[in-house]
Amino acid sequence: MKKLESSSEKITLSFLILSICGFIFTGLLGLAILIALSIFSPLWAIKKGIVAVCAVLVIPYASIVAYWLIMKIREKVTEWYDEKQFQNVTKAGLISFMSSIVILAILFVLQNILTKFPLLDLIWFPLYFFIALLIFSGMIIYMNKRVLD
Amino acid sequence: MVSSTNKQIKLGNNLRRCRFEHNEISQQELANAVGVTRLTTHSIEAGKFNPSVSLALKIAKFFNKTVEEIFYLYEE
Repeated sequence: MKKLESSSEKITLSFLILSICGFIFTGLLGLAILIALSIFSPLWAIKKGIVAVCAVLVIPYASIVAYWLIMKIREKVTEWYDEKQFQNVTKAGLISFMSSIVILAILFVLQNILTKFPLLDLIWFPLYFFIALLIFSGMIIYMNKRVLD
Repeated sequence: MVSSTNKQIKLGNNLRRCRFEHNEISQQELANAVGVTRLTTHSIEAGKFNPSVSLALKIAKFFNKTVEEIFYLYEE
């Protein structure tokens, strides 16, 4: 593997890996598994296994976040990103905040209409987490890709 | 800046020319010199991102030029 030219390249790469891992391995896979469990598993099995399944899904992302934080810990918070990355993170944060509220509001209304739908009581937090992470990481990747186009 | 017409005012730059005049340095070398990532210098050069005043000043200082020699406004 070609040696990285500078620490800024290493930081850019770790930031992108963080986003890709958040998007694919945690956000996308997490939602897919939640949906599959909701369709194919009985309620008691979901109740028993949901915490373990979510923990396994979050571990890779949490590990990369921890690595990224260790790299950044000696710097001031204002130096964690450069100004373009900061703009991307701010935009992605705002979009994921607003869209996850809309999605969760729809699910909340659906749950109240479909009274025989107790599943959301069990999975509301992982569902919110995976949706927010999927949108946030997806937006970061999209904005990075748009720069290179 | 407020324009009396409907024309949009954009920020242009001579970064590519400056890099070539400055021993043909790469975007990565410029990024390292001013403390940003290569993607940021790339997006400034491509006109996709407007740098802050401090970053514009750092870039100008690096090339030993004034900000106006590197960045300019144009109507689109």
